[in-house]
Amino acid sequence: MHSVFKKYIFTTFVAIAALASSYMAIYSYFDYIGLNTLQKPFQMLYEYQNKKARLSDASVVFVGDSSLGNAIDADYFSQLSGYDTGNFALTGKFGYLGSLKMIKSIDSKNLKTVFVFQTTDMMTRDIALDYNTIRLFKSSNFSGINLSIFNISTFDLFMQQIDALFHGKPIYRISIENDYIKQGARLENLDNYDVLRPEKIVKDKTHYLKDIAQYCFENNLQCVYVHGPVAAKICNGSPLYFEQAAKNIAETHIPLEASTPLCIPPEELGDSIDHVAPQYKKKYTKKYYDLLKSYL
Amino acid sequence: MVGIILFFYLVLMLFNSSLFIFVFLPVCLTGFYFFKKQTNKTWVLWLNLCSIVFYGYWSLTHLSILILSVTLNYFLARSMRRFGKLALAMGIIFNLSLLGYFKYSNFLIEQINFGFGTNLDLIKIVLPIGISFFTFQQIAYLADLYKRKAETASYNRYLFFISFFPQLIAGPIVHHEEIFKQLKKRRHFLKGLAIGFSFFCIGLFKKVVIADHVALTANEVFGYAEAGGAPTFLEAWYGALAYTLQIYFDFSAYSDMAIGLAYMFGLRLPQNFSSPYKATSIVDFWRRWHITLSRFLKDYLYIPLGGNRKGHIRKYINVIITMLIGGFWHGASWNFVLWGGLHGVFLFINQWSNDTFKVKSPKIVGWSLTFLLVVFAWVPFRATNIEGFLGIWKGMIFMNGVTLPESMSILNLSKGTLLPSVNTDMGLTIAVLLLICYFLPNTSEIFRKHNVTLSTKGYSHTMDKSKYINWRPTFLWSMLIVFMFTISILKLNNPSDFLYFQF
Repeated sequence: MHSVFKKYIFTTFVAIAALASSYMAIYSYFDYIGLNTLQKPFQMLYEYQNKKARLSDASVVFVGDSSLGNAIDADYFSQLSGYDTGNFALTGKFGYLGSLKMIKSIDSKNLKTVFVFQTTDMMTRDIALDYNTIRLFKSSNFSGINLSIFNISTFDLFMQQIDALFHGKPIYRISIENDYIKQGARLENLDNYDVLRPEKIVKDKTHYLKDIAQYCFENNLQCVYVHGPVAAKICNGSPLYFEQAAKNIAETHIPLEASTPLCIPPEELGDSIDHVAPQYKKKYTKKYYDLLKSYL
Repeated sequence: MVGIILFFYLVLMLFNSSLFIFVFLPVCLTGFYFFKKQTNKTWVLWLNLCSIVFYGYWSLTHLSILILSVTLNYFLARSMRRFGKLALAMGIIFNLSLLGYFKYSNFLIEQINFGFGTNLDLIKIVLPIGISFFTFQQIAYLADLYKRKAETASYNRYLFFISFFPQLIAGPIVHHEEIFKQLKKRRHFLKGLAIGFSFFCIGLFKKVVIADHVALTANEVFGYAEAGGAPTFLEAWYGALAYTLQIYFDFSAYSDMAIGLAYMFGLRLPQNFSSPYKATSIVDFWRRWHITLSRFLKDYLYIPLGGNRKGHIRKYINVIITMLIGGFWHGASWNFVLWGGLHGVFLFINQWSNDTFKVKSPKIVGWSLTFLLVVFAWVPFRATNIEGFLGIWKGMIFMNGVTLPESMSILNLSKGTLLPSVNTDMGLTIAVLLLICYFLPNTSEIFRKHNVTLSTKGYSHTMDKSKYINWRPTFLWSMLIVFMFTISILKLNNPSDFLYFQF
């Protein structure tokens, strides 16, 4: 009788261990050969920006998401303002928490001003998850076995990668161009994009914004919230949303640069409704410099 | 409405968290394996230590409250023979005061402010997790000791009875007799581990994959109504049904996990849910839903009030009072009292019609009506404000109109935009889950041959003799459990809290 249960336990735990080991092994191999390792999305970007932040001497920094990454050229902003400027944009998935972590990563003793530059619909997105990666056996030659891969979103992407490999089209890591993720094909059709509505704002979304405000206060930093640019259709069609978002931001005590964002006309749009096309990055940098110079 | 009561969810060691599953549990089991060969005292001591670490991981302050409560109750129990009624009275006063202070003091302040127009400050309180459960257990023990229906125990055993971590923070509310009797029995480690782990995995799957999935719709619809929105017919029913399923799968999942964990250590806990949505009357529902709470309320509140021994009218009054208090136990808020009151009225009507007409309705009629009433009553239970539950109730009875998806065209009913999670996929999910609740056996029934749970006299227990779904230690079941475990672990990225932790 006991041998039956013993066999059952053995089979069950060996199967679990085998599945887990296989998954980790294949995953680590993908990582090693340069495929998109399907760690939590944009892990590479996070590590790129994090490294920059830790080495930064900037007195003015921008943190936020892809709307920032595509809109602000830090070097050009430095030229215009005369202040050493850094752009440590992540993506929308990181949310305000990502921005907070990025601010905390900045090691610059000269840091005075932080612009929290987020995409206009950030308030409608779920509160971000943390991005601590637990790695075993990390060394100078090996990035380690990532224990944080055991989550459903990573597993989904892992399966997509397997599928892509079978079709001869492996998905490689994102490439950095012009200090941010290289853009894809231009967005032509905005029909699937609805205007922003106040009822879509996530309850308690400003939780980490309040933490940012607290951090800025404690470290004597001037922090300013800036809406990223967005396609004109969204920009002009969402007045109630921006009104509500402004109220929510006001409660966090972070000053808001303007309650409405810069509108991107169709010809200047990049690969997403909140991405400026690469050739217009300097133009929008100048626009934002004009808007923000009073804070410098 | 609830006041400033803060929950430190992020540091609570939940059953559905990697820390618990991969660190805490293996350590406890390993220690238990070695200590069970020693005396009973040794492994009980080891598990007490595990339980202290489990609770203390969340908050050392509240661990000290738990230890203080257990210790004081222990000494009152020991002095029962000498001081009798005085010890019992002191015990009840102490336990209810502790519960009252942590759980209801801000509610009281709010009512005073509302009633008298005062502006008293609320107290910053953190509710000790599980206080409603361990308070009730200790009151029951003292009451039974007084009536000479219980035996005194050593501090080690008493602490175990109250603090054993599988049932500490959200039940089942175990009876002292159920635990003390088992402490002397032999433990079959491998059998316990095999069955207990499988039972646990099924519970984990129910929580992480099923309950958390339907919660998305429930949260969206209720959130919309609470913010002043007017859910239309489909939206309201989606929300209500999603929550009906969420609370069942969430709470029964916790009970399953608690039962599975306890069984890994060779202990059987009482069954807490016996397919409640199969109930054919409200009386039947309460023999199937949160059985251990029903039992407690019946034995320590309803019967002392007089039960059914003082005529029909008094019986009905006692039922309503019991349910009102039962509702209030769930939370310091009028919506829980409303929920309890509704069930009190339902029970009264059920009992009155049984007493008056003595005719049984066809099962399908009884089931339909019962299910409908239960779904309606869950709405105020879930809503955090009056706008929320009124909005959804109105939606359920057509008062907010009917909006169909653009793809449908029936008569002149309005087409429009529904809330995103009110879609075909979720509709199918809800339908499938309802069928599962009605047609498939519950977890205890799946393990029926191994008698994993304790039955409660007078309450429903694993009656369904399922031919096809019986757990056995076979390769097929092993792979099914591996599948459930694997999917659940992948979904553990962001541990969500069990609904009944706030009680």
